[in-house]
Amino acid sequence: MRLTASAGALPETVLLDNEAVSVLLDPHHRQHKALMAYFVYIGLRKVRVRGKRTTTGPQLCVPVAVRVEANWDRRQHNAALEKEARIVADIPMTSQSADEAADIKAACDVSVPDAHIGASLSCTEGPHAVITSDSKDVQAMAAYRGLTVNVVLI
Amino acid sequence: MPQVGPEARAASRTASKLQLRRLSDLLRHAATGKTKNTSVRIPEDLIAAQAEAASLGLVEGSFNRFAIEVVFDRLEAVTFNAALEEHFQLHPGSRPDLIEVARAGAALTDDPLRHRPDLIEVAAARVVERDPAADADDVLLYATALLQAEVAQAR
Repeated sequence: MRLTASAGALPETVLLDNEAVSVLLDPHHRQHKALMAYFVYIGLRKVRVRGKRTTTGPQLCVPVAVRVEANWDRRQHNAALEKEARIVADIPMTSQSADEAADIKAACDVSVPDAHIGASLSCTEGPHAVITSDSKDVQAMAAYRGLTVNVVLI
Repeated sequence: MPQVGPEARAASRTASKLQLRRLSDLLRHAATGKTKNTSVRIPEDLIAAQAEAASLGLVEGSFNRFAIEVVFDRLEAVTFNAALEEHFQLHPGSRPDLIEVARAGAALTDDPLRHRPDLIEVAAARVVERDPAADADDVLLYATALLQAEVAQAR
């Protein structure tokens, strides 16, 4: 068995915000390579993470409201990486998550896509990491929900 | 051996992309899709070994559930990495180097090394010297040792 280097916890769920999605969709974006570094590390740990319960390692997810905000229509196959395979899973907006998002939006004064990120923290497995351009809103939503979230700036 | 022209290579790449896409779609629907009975001959000792592992608390679930999870996990991991590789073939400039991946790993795991990119750089250089096939976790492990040595020296 290999030793795990990291002192911190490997996230179970990695969420992308609007800016991260824009960077993902544009392979010529100046931050694209930096975003790919996160994806490559996740791929590395997918191969390696094994435990009592089998696990697929960190799951890359995007709340659907973020997809709408970023004009990401999967039917258009406009996402360079996603042409090959759907490696980023959708988090749907259910009736329950809409309630949750509405509450977060009012309390934290954030946008609808950000509120859906906040609501997604409650309905997906933690620990969470959010790849974002705005740490303030994510921290505020996490604090409001009493959750610890690893904010990864892009 | 006949030379393979650019058109043939492009056609082959398109076919493999479509297959990768189909593989990914199949995996996405696997959890909720139809099931099928098969007659797989499984070594009895393997079934017994899984039962022993379950009774020791090392794994969870029945043999069938365990086997399906393992197959799913393995396919999910190889599909994810194959999609990335395909992307890097198309966009070579978007392939991150070892130092960038190690930094990303430190950030994603909220490791104290996320604030010490200098140590990650030193570790990457030394680790690759010993093992050119080293990966980001090898680098982070070495960098952790460097950080601990630094802390011990400061005491």
